[in-house]
Amino acid sequence: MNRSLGLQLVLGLCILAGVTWFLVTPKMTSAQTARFLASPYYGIVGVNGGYSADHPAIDYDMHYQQVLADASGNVTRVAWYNDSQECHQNANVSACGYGLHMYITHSNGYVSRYGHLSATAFPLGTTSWSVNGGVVIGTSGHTGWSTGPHLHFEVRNASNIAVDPASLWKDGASFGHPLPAPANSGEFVADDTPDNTGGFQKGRGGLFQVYCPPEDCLFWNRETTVGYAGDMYHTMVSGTWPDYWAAWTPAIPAEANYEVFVYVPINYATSWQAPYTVQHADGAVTGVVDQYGLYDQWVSIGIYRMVPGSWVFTIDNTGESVSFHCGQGQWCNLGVDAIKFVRRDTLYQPHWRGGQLWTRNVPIINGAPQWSSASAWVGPGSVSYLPGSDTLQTENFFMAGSTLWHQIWRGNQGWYRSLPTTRGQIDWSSSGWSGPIPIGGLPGSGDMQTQTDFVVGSTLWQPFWRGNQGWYRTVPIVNSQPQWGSASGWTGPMPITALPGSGDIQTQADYTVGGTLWQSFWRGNQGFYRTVPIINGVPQWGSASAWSGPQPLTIWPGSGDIQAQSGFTIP
Amino acid sequence: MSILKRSATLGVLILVSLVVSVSSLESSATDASIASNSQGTLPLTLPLKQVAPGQASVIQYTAIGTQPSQRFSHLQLRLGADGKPTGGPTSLQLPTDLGFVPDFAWPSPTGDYAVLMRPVEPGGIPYVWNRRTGKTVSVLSQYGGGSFFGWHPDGRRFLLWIDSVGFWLIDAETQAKAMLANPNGPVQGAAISRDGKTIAYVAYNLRKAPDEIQYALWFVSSTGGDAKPQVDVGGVSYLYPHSWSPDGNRLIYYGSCAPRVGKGTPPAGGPLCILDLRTRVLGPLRIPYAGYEPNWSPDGRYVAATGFAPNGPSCTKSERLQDASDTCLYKGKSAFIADTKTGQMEEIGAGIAPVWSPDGSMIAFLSKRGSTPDVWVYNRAKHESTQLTNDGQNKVGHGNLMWRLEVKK
Repeated sequence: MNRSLGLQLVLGLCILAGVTWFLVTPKMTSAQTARFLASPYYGIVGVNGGYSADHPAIDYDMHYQQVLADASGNVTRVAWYNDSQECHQNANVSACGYGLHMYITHSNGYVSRYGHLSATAFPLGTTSWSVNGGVVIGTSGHTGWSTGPHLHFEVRNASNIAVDPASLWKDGASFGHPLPAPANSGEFVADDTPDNTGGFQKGRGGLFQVYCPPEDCLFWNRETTVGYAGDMYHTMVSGTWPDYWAAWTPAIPAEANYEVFVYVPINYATSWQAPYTVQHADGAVTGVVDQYGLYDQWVSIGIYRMVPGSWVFTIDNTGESVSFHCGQGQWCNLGVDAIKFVRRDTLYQPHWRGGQLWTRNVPIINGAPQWSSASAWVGPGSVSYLPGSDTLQTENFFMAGSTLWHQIWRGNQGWYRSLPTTRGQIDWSSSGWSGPIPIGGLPGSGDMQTQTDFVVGSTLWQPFWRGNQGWYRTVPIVNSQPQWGSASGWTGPMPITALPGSGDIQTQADYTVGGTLWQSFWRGNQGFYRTVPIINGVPQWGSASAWSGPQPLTIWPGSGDIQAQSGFTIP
Repeated sequence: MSILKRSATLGVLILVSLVVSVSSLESSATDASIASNSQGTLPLTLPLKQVAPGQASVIQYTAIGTQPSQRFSHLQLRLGADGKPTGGPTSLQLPTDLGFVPDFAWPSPTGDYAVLMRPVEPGGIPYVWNRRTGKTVSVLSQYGGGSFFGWHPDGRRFLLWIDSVGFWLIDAETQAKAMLANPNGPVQGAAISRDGKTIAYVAYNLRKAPDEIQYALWFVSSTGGDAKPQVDVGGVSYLYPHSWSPDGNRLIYYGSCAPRVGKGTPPAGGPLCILDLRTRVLGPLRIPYAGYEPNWSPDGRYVAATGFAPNGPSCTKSERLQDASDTCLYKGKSAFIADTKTGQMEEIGAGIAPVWSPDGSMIAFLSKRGSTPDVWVYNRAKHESTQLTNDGQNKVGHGNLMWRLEVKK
């Protein structure tokens, strides 16, 4: 069937619906609530040990898994709790404490503690390094006073008294709004090679001073029976004097967020504190890996924005002199093997029905969502963490620059908040909700049904539906900030009859992935979607695909009517 | 090789730097970050404990059970003046109303008190048992994660560090607390001088650049408030409760002291170092250190410590050290005696965690030379070792093997 460009445009505009509360310039709320922590693991990983007087912390059943910051703050400690040799890992000596651990001090004076780590994304001795909530700060492990791999998560108040983390979760004891971990969207490995090829180099004499080869390096020892792909190099560490070094440059195709993993072989890699410096698109940071306690494992040292040519290096001045940590009258060994960049472009899909929330993520490879590789749905979560009362009408997320805007409507009142993101993670704790904003300022009449804001190029599109009629407007974005004072007037109403299906409109979700705008909606508990190409930052409405559908509601988790759906990616 | 020459040169520079650092030991500068004594000083003038030669003694050790309720058993063996057991092991008479099993139990030198540690990460909450009153009270119970660093020679105060809370000298009788300092970062061990006037501890060296982890040996008086870093001890260091020599002139610690040499060159000694506070000279001890607390002999001439047996088998990483069974705690390790006067070293046998008898004639240590980890005693005059226990249970080697005089009341 031939469709005119005009009809396509009208249909596109019908799909786009707008929102009212940005008629008023948004204001950030600064009040610090008692609950300020995200609960990135609640309901996702098991708990080995709950909070009690004898154990004023939560032990998460996490075997060498990503550790996320619970809220924004300053990393004020990265250290070994007890440097004596018998305290690398000791189930019988409480004085061995947290092992490799880190503290984050929050703006309200509270301190969150992460114990028994196997790797950190920050250097030993760190006393001040700003982090956002939700970012990867290291890898769980089995160091210090520990009986097995886990994450010890503890929170102290400003008086250094332990506090039950559950009492500080913004989401209360309910599931809240954590998201599944970023999805794997492609891996790029650089492994050691004898001839300094394949994105690997090694040398001596201080960082990049002498390359081996062509120079002979006596103390780069090669093993061909262990390690990633069956080989590795090692050299004894040299205290505080930088000498032997190695560097990896995985061949990534384009700028994206990547998680950096270090492979530690089962033998010949014994430093407690091997430094790995990540040279990423926004600077450099040195993580620490406890090679001594790891056996043929990948460990994460954080997620970074990478460009082709971004690289990682290690060097032998670990701070461990002769006999330190490894005994035998010798030096510990710095093991050198493989580095892996794992792409973390991820589409998140929050979904509400029957008053309950589910979320999942979908990896994105080369700009295309990998629907068949979507994670399992995580949920159900409760609506109780959201402001307001009454039935949830719609929820919407959109990214403007590095800020994630989060909006909801319930009881025909709107709320919003803005959340900074870094390294592919959201800082859920950084902003309180603003609102409620009455629906009266919006054009049209009837109950709010859905709102779906999205950014294409430098334009924020703001569509909404009420009373089965749609409106939209556009807002220019300058320097990542929506210019609310320059918003267009509202266009509409658009009739629902332009859409396929029947029944009342329930929700609409628009989001961009790469160069494509995805548009989906639900009416009468049946779903439809289409795609619109984007060229030079402009949706090509005339080239939109035909609508696919209807999809039955039964393929979605939960029960009850569909209420809200959203989709977003985090740069 | 040129690399070795440069290494040696740098090592000399490091050593010179360390000696220069030591030369400022008597500096009167006070670190501004140290909190003042928040709860007043203690007016104690108790006599220091004196050794009584020929007195009966007690070896105390901690066995590890398999049941959670019996995880730790604190046991003791009484030895007569001849150093021979007068009976079998008996349980340390701990209070029965604790409601928990202490992971550590440290009787005071006079026997009038004991510190019992309820394990709470990242360390424990201390309880003090008072023999005179028969009561047990908790100390600083609101803070989890304390570390006990030894008794004051007055037999009444003890040293406790709680991360981010402070470094305290606490009176077991009154529970009065004197805050000595509030170090930034973890305290890597501490020790009270034999005259009770000075506390040494290892903590971050605040003179180093941020994000560069370097430790220093700090000193603070027992009245607190005057803590200052005195000796750079490198990136990894640790101090032990009995690090002070009996005459108070030397300190033994685990840290940097030997000049760095090139890769592949056998080390000349260390990482156990002796700092002579009179000459400001640092020197490495030759024992190939393998962990656990080193101990001075009562006469201050010798040091007993755990080292790796020459050419002995040892656990490799592929044996999964992180899950090390007791086999890896003992494999390839020996107890050594080092003569700090001559530099000579004597291997006294397979084992770990050696401690001296009060008169210095014998050394107790843990060994698995039999089928199970047990307490053994080495007689220095006879150069022979005797097995004292045979209970089949593993033992805690980290600061829990003690040999003290029997206290009769």
